[in-house]
Amino acid sequence: MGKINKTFLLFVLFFVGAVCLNFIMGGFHLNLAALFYEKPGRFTGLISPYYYSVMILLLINVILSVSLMLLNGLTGLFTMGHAGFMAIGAYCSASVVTFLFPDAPFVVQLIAGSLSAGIAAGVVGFLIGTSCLRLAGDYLGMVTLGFGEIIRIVFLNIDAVGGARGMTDIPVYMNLGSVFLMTIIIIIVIKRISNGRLGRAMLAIKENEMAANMMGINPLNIKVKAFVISSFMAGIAGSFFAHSEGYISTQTFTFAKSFEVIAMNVVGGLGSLSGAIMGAGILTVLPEALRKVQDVTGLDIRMVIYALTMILIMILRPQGLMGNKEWKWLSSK
Amino acid sequence: MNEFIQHTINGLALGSIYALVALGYTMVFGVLQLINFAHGDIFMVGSFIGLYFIRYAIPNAEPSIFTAIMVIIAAMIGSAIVGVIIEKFAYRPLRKAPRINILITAIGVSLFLEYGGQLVFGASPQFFPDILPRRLIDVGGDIILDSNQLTIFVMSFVLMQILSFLVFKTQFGRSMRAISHSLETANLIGINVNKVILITFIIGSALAGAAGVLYGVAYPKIDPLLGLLPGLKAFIAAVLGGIGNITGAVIGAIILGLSETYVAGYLSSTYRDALAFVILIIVLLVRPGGLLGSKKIEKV
Repeated sequence: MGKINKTFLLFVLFFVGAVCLNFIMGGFHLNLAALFYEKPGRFTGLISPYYYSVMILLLINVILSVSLMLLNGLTGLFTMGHAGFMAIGAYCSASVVTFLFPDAPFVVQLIAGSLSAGIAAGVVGFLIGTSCLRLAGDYLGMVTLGFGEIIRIVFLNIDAVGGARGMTDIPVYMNLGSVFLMTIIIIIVIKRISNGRLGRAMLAIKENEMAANMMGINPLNIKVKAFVISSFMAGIAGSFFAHSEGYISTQTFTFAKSFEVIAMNVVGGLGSLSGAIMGAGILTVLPEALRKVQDVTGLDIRMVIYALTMILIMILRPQGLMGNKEWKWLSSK
Repeated sequence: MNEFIQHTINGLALGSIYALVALGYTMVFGVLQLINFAHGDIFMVGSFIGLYFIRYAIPNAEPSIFTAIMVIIAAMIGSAIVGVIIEKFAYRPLRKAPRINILITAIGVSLFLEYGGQLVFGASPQFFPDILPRRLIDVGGDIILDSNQLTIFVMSFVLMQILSFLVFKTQFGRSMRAISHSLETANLIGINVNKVILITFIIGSALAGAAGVLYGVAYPKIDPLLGLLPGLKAFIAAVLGGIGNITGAVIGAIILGLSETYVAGYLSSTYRDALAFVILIIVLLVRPGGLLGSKKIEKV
């Protein structure tokens, strides 16, 4: 019970912090779109809009990667549909804020958007998790891949959220500070989960489900919990994405996105929280950093280099960059 | 009724292309337990090799069966070479690594081929020239039989027959089936595992290359990202039939091709892509081994 209270406290802390940060950084920053298309605001003196958006993307990818780590790395459930949960979060939060709270203050929008996104994704995660529990290994991966794509195609066919055109004019209220705070909190929450009773149970299931069962762990229960927590966080990432870009389309949430998140996990080291963060960092920054190369050569070889890097890391360091290790500030001791 | 027959004909043509790609998936899964995500992109490479072969090697060829066969053989050889390179440099070093690593490598190879393809072939779609004398045969009762569809169907059928001979009647096929039962035991009884896996990749990639050309014949607009969706669907077809099972892959592909054309014809074409995934989920939840797969459910 104490742990739940602490987790709850962290969330409260986040909302308070986000509000404070918003005041500190100045209300001028509420409209990110203006920052991009109109003359630069005060904030751009610190960070250019390009770096600003890359950093937000990086943080969102960290949330995704870390939440997938809970499923893939810790519980050993190989899923390939994370983009689907992100899509649910993005579309749900965007619709709730656009249709229900278009003129509400920032705090209301933030709470309504993030919570509805997380809960919607969590509920779908619960449904998918319970229906897929019979499956293991690659088969689970295939089914979740299928679910992810179906979610995407369903959104593609709903006209109210833009259909194939994508959803535009979503209120942009997320800023770098809020996303950063939430990322830190999610990392802390996942660290606490993985070092606590639930995390140990997940690890036990990954190592040997039968033995875990004999030890008094209910594998079904734990697996569903992992699914719900992970999809909840992916939903929140989707919500942040929608409200920092201001535009979402189903093209963002294809299975390629799911693969990208898996790749982040594996490149960093499957089962390592630090690895998940590191992988997200590398795979987000690398394609952007390679834009310079494109300027020199005149050819768009950055994605080719990106793909080659992925293959080479897998061949030269199969356990991932971090292996099973954690950074000091994230280790359990 | 006539409409139904027309859809059936279209579905069979589409299904036979899926079948050629699905065979490669299922064979590689059989020997390596690997979902070779790059397979769909080898299919794309085959399509482009066919295109460039017509454009530069035989620029003045008249559309005929002979030309088509030449193009298909060129594409098969080219794709086989690509397959061998991928196997040697990307998958072989990982033979002992965990399966997820090989999977990520496969995704990496897939990305590499897609973006490399955009670099080499250009990102904009290109027109695939006629390599077959096209005739529309009016069978009567509003049913139109496209001679291209017929050729696609016949050529896929011939290639599948060759494959089934290879797999079920030759020494190589016997080794391949042994490996798909148990790689370690096959190694112990003296089968050269690496060689067989290499040949499997050659055959699978060659079939994908042929399918690429046939796809170009049926849908004459090709671009470097063309392998993504057909590749994924062929993979679903392989799962539907029971992955690792060669007959199953063909049956699964035909079912998928037919049901896609029916859905596109009678319901809505936007739901066509979702259908494949719905089928995938239902099959895996109800009968995880696929239609013809073994009853062994992958459990704890």
